[in-house]
Amino acid sequence: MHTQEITLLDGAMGTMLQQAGLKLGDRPETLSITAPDTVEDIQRRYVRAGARLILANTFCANAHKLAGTGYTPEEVVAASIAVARRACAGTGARVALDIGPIGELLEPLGTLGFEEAYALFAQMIRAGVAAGADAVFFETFSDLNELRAGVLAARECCDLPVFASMTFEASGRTFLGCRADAAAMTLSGLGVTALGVNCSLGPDEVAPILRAMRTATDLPLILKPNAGLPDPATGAYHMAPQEFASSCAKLTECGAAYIGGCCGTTPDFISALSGALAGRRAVWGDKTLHGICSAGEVCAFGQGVRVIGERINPTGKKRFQQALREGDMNYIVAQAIEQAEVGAQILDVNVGLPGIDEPQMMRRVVTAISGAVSLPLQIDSSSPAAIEAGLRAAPGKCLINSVNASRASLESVLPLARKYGAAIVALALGENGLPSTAQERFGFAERIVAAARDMGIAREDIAVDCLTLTVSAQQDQAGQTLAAVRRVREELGLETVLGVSNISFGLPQRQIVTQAFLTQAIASGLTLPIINPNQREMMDAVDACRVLSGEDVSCAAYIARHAPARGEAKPEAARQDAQMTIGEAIAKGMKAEAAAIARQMMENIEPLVLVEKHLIPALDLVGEQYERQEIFLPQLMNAASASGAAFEEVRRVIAASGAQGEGKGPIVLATVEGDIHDIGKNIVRTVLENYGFHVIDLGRDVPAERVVEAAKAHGAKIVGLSALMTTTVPSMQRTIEQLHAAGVHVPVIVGGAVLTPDYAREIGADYYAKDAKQSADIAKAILG
Amino acid sequence: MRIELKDIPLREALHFLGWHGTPLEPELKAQIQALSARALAEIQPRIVLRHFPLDARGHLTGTSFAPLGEDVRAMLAPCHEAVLLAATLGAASERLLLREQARSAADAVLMDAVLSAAIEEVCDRAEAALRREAAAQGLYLTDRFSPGYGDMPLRQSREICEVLSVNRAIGLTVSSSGIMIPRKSVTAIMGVSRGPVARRPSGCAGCSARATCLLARRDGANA
Repeated sequence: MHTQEITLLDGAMGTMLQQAGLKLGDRPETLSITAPDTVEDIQRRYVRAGARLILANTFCANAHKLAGTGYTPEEVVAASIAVARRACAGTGARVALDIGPIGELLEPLGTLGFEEAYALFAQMIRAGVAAGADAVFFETFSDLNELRAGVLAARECCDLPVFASMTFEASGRTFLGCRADAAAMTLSGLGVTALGVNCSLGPDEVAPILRAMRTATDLPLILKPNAGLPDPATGAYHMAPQEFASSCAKLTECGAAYIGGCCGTTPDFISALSGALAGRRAVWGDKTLHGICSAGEVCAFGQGVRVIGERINPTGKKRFQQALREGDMNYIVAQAIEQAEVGAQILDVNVGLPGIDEPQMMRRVVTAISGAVSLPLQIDSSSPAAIEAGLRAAPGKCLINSVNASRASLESVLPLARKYGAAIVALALGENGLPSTAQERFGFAERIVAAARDMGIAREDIAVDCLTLTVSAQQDQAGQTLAAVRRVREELGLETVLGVSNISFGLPQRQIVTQAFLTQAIASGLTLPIINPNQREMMDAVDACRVLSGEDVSCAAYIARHAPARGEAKPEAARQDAQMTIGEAIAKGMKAEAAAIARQMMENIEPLVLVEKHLIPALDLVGEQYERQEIFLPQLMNAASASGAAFEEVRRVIAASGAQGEGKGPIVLATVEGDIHDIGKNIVRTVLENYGFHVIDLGRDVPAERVVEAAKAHGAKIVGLSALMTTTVPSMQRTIEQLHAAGVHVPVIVGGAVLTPDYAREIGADYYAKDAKQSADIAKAILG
Repeated sequence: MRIELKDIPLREALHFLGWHGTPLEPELKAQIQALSARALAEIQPRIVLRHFPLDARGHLTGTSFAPLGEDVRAMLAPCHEAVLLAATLGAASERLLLREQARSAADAVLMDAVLSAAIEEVCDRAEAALRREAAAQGLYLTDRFSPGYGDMPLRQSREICEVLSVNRAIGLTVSSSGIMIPRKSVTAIMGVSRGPVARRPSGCAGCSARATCLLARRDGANA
């Protein structure tokens, strides 16, 4: 049981400033400079009402929001803290630097980089420290990753207590889909003093959200709700101060220890709170939810088997290696989506490949995956720098794979787990090579657990990997591994991990052995199997084990997955018409068929012959129909997708043969910096690839420097740039200028809704393409 | 405010895909409908709107917002009140696009059009509700006018977002290059008048970009 004295916070600032004449759309923060007495008067009234922690008028005092006001964050923060300190003078009340969201969405959904957000927060925090703030208070966040950037900045730039509060909808999620328990789980690992909820709703509606947070943290909670729900017509709040206060007071029993008000609350509300909370203390019990999470999903430990998908890993996969070398995030993200769809609950992310900047690639891949898939991640690397890059980028609490019992590993990895609040895989391995007995494995596990304890890492955040060795090489080891798993479960009570697939390396029909080992391991106490979830045998075994252990209550999940679906054709069985040609499959947009026919054809003809004699003519036909308006865009795209599926088969065959430089080109494509409208660029990419061009797609919001770098590194023959907005065309011009300045004089093709042939010439482009078909025609004319 | 969308008009989605009335294969129709269903299951349309009295200079009282450009000012001239609105499909719409893009470029193109149709539908519904409210009080509502229409500068979108505190209200953001994210978002202004107001011709006919727009409805495709 935990207990703590209650600290009263203040109420709304915006509401009060509007009453004092602030115009909507103006920056309230600048009033600390232009009308300091107004701000001080409001804060003094809050102090008189009983508030003991006053939030300075700095909510939006970041460099982006202040742009155009003529003031710097340093000026506004210094003035605002000074005003608040005057309001608190002689009362013992303290002043917090108040920090709200930057107002721009972070990557991968938006364009603001994580480190850019970090820098904006750090600038405010340094100014706050210099001005004498007593604490840093983050509030009204709906993006957990943006809040993480802020909290990390605060932890790294100062020693002040850090408060972190988010705003939720009645659904219990933020606008960005962050769950309350996931927020609590993530933030409590980052060393904050308290975390909680502000704004959102009234205190009664916030109660379930606060209780959800309670399950996932041992820290005191922040409660700063609105004055009830606003009138939809007028936006006014109607809850009475007394009613507000008594609703808030009830939540002291779930650990609300920092209590104040948000929109619609006034000094009267704080007075009422002061009365209702007199003589009360916050009390709460230990957290009940353990595990890891992303912003949108929690993977609970201690409640059964949780599948870790192993497919994001280049080891032994030529096609994956190629995707990493070319920065093809779409391919990698598709692997993540596929695993999520078949039942993976955690995704292992490994991007280690010789010649690749691993930390940089880890950051990119983790960011890209987190945009499309909401599963928690396991950051898998032997490089501490890459682990840190992954932990920094991932929105949530990750699992680190792995730390072993060697001193070097303990000293480099455990501090990272501590700093980022991550859970760890403790690999039962020491300085002197592989263990050969269950006893040795157990001993290593104990050593890591002890070191983790000394570092302040909770036991429930440790999962032990008892090390799977290859049974065809060391047949006695399978039994030792299983015995160690059993001991770790029974004697240490920890979660257990195994890289299950290793067991069958070198054997024919590997899945038979792997499946049997998986079943035995789960029976021995394995809770976190690392497997290929795309292999039906593996997920079948997991389903069955969950039935036998009772985890799958009433066998409901098993039945849902395995009962024959009525009247439904099997989707994976491609209906392959015996007479269908690849041209017909492409024209009709039939992906599976096009791929299957391509596979068949490549048994008899060379991949490049397939491309030249069959795929390209088929696409030409579709392209002509499109130009004659006999078909429209979706039909062209479906045909291109089908042809793309055939091409993927070609790429696989070529990658497996070890040949390089497949296709003509390369053509480097990018949607320019500042723009995220990439649909057009993606259409161009698809069509170009299907004409046999080798495309290196740099994605969207790509800085000029990266375009130059890639054009040089890959020896681009053509550069293609897209921009949709008038506001981002200058960025396109800058990219072309930088290409020329760097001596890259290859033809540049541009396209995008606001461009015209004249405009294109004006910004220095060599070609303007009105659509994807024209891009392909131009590329053909240039490269033949 | 949450808006429950029950369906997304197929015809509107087809319009965004540049459909010119060629026969629509059942497979393609089913493909679009499946993506619409997925979109409806995940998007969370939200809208915020507020009424402001217009002062003699045409500024919105209590705000720092003054609509710019001849077109919008002419539209608001007979009005005593303006309504600002901002709507978004939410972050889930961006995730849907990222996911479809990784999976299939063709589906991504379709999803993009489906979501464009969805946000248009959200705004149409909000506008229809406002129109009913106005009519019930004997008032008249102008067209829905967005920054970027006619000569109203696109940058005023950011100003509307500031006045409505869209980040806090509906989770909408504006990037440093002026792009609203989630992309499937709209800001607009409408006028309320005590007397009848002139309406622009609806659709492409009233748009200044119709001569060069690839999507402009021409010939019989506007059926």
